[in-house]
Amino acid sequence: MNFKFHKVLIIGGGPSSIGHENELDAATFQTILTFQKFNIETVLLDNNPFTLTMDLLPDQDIFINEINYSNVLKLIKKVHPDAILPTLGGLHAIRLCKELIHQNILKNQGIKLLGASQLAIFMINNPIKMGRIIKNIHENIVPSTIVSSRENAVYIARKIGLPVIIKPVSKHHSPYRQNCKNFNQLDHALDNFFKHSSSHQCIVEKSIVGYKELETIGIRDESGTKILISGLENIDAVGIHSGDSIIITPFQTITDPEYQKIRNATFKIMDALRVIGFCHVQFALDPTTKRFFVTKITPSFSRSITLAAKATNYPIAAVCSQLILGRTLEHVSLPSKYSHLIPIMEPTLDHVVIKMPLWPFDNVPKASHHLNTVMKSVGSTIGIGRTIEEAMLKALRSSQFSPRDVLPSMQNLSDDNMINQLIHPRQNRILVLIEALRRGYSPAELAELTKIDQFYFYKLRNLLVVENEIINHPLRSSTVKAAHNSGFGDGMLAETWNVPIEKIFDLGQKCHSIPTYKAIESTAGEVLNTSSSYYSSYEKENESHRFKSDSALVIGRGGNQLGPNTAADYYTAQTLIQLHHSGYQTIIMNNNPNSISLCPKISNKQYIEPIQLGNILDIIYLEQPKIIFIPGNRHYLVRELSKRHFKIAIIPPDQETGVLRDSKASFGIDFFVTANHCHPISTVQFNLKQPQQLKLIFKYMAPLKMSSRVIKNLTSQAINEIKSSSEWHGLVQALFIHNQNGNHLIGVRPLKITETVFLNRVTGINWIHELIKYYTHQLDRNKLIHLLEHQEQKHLEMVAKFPFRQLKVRTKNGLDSQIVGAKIEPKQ
Amino acid sequence: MENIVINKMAMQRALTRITYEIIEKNKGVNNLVIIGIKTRGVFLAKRIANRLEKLENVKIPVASIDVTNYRDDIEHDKQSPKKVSVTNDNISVEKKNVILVDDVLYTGRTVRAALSAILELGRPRTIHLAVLVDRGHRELPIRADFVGKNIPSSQSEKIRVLMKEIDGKDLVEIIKN
Amino acid sequence: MATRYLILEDGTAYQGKAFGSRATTTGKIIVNSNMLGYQEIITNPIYHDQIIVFTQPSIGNIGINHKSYESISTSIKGVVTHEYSDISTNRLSKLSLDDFLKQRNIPGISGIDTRELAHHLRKHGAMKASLVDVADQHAFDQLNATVLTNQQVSQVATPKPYPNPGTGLNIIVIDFGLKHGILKQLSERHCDTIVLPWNVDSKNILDLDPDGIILSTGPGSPYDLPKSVLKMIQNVQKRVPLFAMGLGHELFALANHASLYQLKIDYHNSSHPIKEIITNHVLYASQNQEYSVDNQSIQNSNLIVTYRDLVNRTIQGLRHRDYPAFSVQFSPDGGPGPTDSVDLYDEFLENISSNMNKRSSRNDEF
Repeated sequence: MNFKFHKVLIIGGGPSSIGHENELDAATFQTILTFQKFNIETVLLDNNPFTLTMDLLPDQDIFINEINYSNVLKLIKKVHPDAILPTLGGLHAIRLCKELIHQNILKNQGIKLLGASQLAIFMINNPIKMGRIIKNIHENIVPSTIVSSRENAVYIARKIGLPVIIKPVSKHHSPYRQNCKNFNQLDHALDNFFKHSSSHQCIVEKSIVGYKELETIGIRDESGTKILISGLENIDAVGIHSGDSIIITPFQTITDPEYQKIRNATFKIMDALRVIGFCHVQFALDPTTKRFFVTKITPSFSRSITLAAKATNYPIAAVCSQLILGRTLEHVSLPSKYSHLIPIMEPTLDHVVIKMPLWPFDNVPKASHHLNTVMKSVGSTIGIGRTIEEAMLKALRSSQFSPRDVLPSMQNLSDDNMINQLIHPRQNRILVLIEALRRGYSPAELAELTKIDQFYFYKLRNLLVVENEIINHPLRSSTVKAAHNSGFGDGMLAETWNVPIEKIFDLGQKCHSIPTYKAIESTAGEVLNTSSSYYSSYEKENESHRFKSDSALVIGRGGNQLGPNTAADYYTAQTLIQLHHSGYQTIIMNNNPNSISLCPKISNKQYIEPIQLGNILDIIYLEQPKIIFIPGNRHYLVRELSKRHFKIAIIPPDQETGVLRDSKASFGIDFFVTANHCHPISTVQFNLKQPQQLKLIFKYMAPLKMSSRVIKNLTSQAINEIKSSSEWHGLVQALFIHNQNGNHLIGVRPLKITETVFLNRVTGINWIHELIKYYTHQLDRNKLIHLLEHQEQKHLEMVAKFPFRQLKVRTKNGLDSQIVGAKIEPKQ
Repeated sequence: MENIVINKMAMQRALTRITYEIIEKNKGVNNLVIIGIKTRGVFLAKRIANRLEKLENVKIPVASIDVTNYRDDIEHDKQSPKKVSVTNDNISVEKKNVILVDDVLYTGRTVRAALSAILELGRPRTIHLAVLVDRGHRELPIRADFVGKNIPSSQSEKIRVLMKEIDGKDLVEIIKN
Repeated sequence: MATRYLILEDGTAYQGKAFGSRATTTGKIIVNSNMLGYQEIITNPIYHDQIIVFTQPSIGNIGINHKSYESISTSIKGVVTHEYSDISTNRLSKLSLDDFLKQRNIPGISGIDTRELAHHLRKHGAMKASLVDVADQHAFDQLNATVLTNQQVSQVATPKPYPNPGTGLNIIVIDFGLKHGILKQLSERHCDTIVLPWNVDSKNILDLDPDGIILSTGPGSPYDLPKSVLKMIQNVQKRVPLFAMGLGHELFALANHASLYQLKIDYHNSSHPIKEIITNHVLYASQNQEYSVDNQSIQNSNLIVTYRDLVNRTIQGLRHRDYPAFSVQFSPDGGPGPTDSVDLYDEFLENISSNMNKRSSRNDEF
C-alpha cells in the first residue's frame, strides 16, 4: 500500500483528568503499532508520564512537553510532519488543530489532516455550526434562539414550549444557566439575567431535562462504508452528565424503528462531516413524542468509544488506525486472534454490559456531591452478564473497592433524605434506587421521580426478590443458583450466611451452578474463536479453556479512583508485557473499561469480572496459574489467597510498609534491592528549600543537584539501613531531610508507583520489567549492572495534577490520595 | 430560489438504472463504446463505464468529445476548420454500438453536433443517447434512449448539474430566475 | 414459573422456564441474532411454523405495540430466549409479550443458554424441535415422527385479493407471505396497491394493467411451490417492471433458470456486509435466508449478480439482462434491521417511470 504521507504527528492527551484516564493511551498505542506496521513514522507530543505509548516510540520521536499551540508549532517546524492526527488527544488536541488551521499552518506546510475533517473540527464547541450541519441533513437539534429583550424571550419560550433554559451568549463557557418550568420562573430568570449581563443577549433553549439520553458510536471509511459499533443507553435521564450516568448497552428500551432512525442519523452526520475513523453522537429522545434531538457530536476518541470497544470487543482503535491510512473496512487486516470478517460485520451482541461511574467524594469530601450536567466521576467499572440483573449487580460489585463483596447498606438513610436523593442524585445512586424499591415504592412512582425508564425498576425489583430468597432460604442449593443467575457473588452469600466461601462453592456444585465463561465478541456466536476476552455467567457452555503451558494471573486495579491509579494501571500493563516476555501465558482480570491493562494486545487472555474473592477463586480454579500478581493495597485478598496456598506476588508493592522516622522529606535515593545486592539507581528531589510533608509531595525532580561525593556518602548510609533488614527487596526508596544541619536519612519505603514510572522516564530503563524478572527469577544481575552503568539520565520534572478546579473545590495542597494525573517536562 | 430535484442517492440510482438499461438494449456490452460530451457528460460516461466494467468484468472504451466547433447555433470563425476533439485517439467507432452521454438534454443542438462529429470519425452500428436529465423544449427531432429523470421545466429556469468529480458533490437543482 | 423443555431432533434436551402458552408444539428451529425488534420477528410470516431462538439478551422489554406488527396473524411455533421480561413500559403498549403469546397459543421458554444453542445448531445444521412439558422418550418419538408441512405459503398468504389504495403508481404485490413492511413502503410512496394471492396466473395480473409487480417475501422452500408460479413470473417480467424479495427473489431466480441450494444453517441477522457490485457500496440489511442462488447456475441464466454478501459470498441480488426486473435476497424495509437499502423501492418506481416513458415513446414511433 502506498501512502501520501510518511511522518505523522500525533497530539497526545496530556495528563489524565476527570473524563480522561488511560483510554487515549490505549488508542494511541494501537494506532502507533499500526503505523509502525506500515512503516509510517510517528512523532508524538505528550507530557503524560503514565503511558505505554512513551515506551513504544524511540526517544527521538517523543517530544515531552506541555501540549500547547507554541509547542505544536515548534515541533512542526522542527520535524516537518506531512500529516497530523488530532483525534487521539481529546478535545484539547482538536482545539489546537483548529488554531493550526486558522493560522494556515497546515495549508502552508502541506500537512494533511487525518481522522477528522476541517468541518468537524470547526464544528466542535460551536453550536451554531453544528446546528447548521444537522439542519442540512434534516435531523433535529434542540430548539434555541438568541433574544435581546424580555418580550422576545417570553415569545420564544411560548413558541418552543416550557420548560426552557436561559443561558447567556458568551464565547467562554459560562456556568450560569437557569431551568424555567413556568412563566414565573422565566420572569425571575430574565430579571436576573438582564440585570447582570452586559451583553443584553441570552439564549432561550428548550429544556430536554428528563429526556432519554442515547449515544451511538459509528465508524466510517474513505469509501463511505459505515457501521454502527454500539448504542449506549444512559439509564439516567438528560440532566446528569453522561460520564456520571449508569450506561447500558445494547439499547434496551427503544423500538427497532427508533433504533434505525438513530443509526441513520449517526450515518448522515458522519457523511456530512466526512469522518474517517470513529465518531460519537449523543441524542436526547423525548419519551412522549418519540422525537429525538442530536445533542452532541464528538469525532475524537473518548471514554464512550472505549466503552463501546470493551462491550463489543470490536477493535475500534486498531481498525480505525487503518481507515485513517485510507484502507476500506473490507480490506482492514487484523492480528490473527481476530477473524478477518470482524471489521466489516456490524456488531451484534448476545450479552449486556453496564457501566457504573465512580466518584471521588470520599477523597475530596469538600466537593459538591450532587450529580448534574458537569461531570464529576473519575472512573468507572463495567459488569457483563447474560441478563440485565446480572450485569447490573456485577457492575455494582465491581465498583466497590473492597474485595469483601459487601454492598454499602442504605438502611440508615432517612425517608426524607432518600426522597431528596431520588430527586437530586448523588453517588451510590443505584443503591438508593434499590433501597426505595425495598421500602415499597412502585416502579411507576420512581420513574416519575427520577425520569428513569420504569423497565429498570422492574429489573432492580427482580434483584430484591432474589435478595429476599437469600435472606429467607439460606444455605440452599436452589438459593445459590438463583443468586448466581442474578449476579450475586459467592462472597456476598458467604458474608450474609456467615460461612466460608468454600461452602457456597459446594452448594453451587450440588445444583450444577458452576461459572461458565463466555467470549465477549461482536457476532452473537456466529464467528467462533475470535476473542480472548471473557465474562462469567452460570450457563451450559464454557468457552474459556486452561492454557497448555504455564500461565500468570494478574489482578487489575478495578475502577479508577483518585490516587496513583492511572500510574498503577500502566504498571499492571507493563507487568503483563514482561510476564509475556518471560514465557508466561498472561491473564488479566479487570473491570475498568478505560484501563490500558485490559487492551487485548498486551495479554493472552482478559477476564472482565468483579475483583472480588469469589470471582478470583473461580478463575484460579479454572486457569491454575503458576503465579498470581495482586496489587499491594489489597490486604484482604492477599491474606485470603495466601491462606489457600496460592503462589502470589504483590505488584505494585504495598505502599504502606515504609519504616520512617519523620513525616517530612526533602529528597530520596532509589534502589533496586535483590537478596544479596543493593543497586543505587537515581536520586530524586522533592524540595530542598523546605522539607515536604510526605503526603503532600506533588513535585519531583531528578536527578538531585548535589555533589557526587555527598551523594555517594548518603548512598552508603542508605545501603546500610536497607541491608539491616531482610524486608527490603525490589524497588526501594531511602528518604532524607535536608536542613541547615545537613542531610539526614529518615528511613526506607517501597518506591511509590508514580515515582517508579518517573524513574523509568528519567533512566530510560523499564524498572517494572526488571522487577518482574526478579519476581520470576529471571533477573540477570550482570545485565542489570550493565544497564545501570550505561544509562543516560534525563533531567526531568514531574508535577502531580489534582482535580480541584473541575470539582470546584478551593484547596491549595493536594494529598497524594487526591492525585488525578501528572505531567512531566524536561528541566535543566 | 434553488430547488434540488436529484440528490446524491437519486443520481446514483439513475446511473445504475441507465447502466442496466444499456445492457438490456444492447443485449450485453460487447462492441460498446461510450462517448461523453464535454465536461459533465464525460464524468457520467466514465461512471457508467465503470459500472458496466464491475458487472461484466470487461473493459469498456470511453472517449470524450468537445462539440463546441460543431454547434450550429454558434457563429464560427470561417478560417478555422471544424475539428472534432476526441480525447482517446485509439478509439474506433466503426461498427460499434456507441452510447453518447450528456448531462442535460434541452434543445437537442449539442447532441446533433455530437452526432455529426461521431459520424465523421466512422460508421457506428448504432448510436444511443443517455442523459441524466431531459428537460424538454426540443428544437430538433432528437430523443434520448436512456433518461435519468424527466424534469419538465420552463425556459426561464436553469438546470444545474453538479458532480463530485468537479463540483465536490452530486446533485441536480433547478434555479428559478 | 413452570419447568419446560426444548428438545431437538438430534436428541438434545434443554430445561427452561415456561412463558406464553403451555401448548406442546413442533417446528423447525432457527436462530435470529438481531439485537432489537422481537415483535417484528415474531409476527413475520416468514417464520411460519418455526421455533425462534433469540440471541438478543432479553426480550419482552417494551411489550407489544401497534406499530411493530409485520402481520396480524402470528403463526410461529415457539420462542426460545435466555431472559424474558414480563413488562411493558412502552407508551403504546397495552399488552405484554407473555399475554400476546398466550392469546395466540404460542409457547415460550426462557433460561436457555441461547449462545450455546446457537453454537450447537450452527455445528449440527438445521433441525426440528419441540417445546414440551416432559423430555421423555415419548416426546422425542413424537418429535421424530412429526412431518413438517411444506405448504407454508398457502397457509399464510392471502387467499383473496385486496386493495391498499393510494394516489400513485398502480402496483401489484403477489403475496407469498407478505410482511407489512412492504405495504408500508409502498404507502409511503403513495402507490395504489393491489395484493393478489400467490397462485394467481399471469393473465389475471396483466388484466389489471399494473405499472409494476412485486413478488413478496415468504416462508419455506421455493421448490415446494408449483411450476405455475415460475410460468407466471416468466410471463409478467417481459411485460411489466418487477421487483422481488426473499422468497420472491428465489422464485425469480428459478423462473430464469438459475438454481438454488440450501444453506447448512439458516441465517437470520443483519450484521453481514452486502456489497452492491455496480457501485462497491456496502450496506447492511435484514437477512432471513434458508436458500441461496447457486453461483454456477448464473452463467447459464439470463441474470446479472447485483449484490453479494461479503461474509459468506452468497448472491444477494439479481437483475434480468433483458427486462427491467430485479430482485434481492434480503429485506430492504428492515423490520427489524437496517434500512440502508430502502431506496430499492425508489429504484423500482424509477424503473417503472423509465419503462412508461419508453412505452409512450415507442407508441410515438408507430
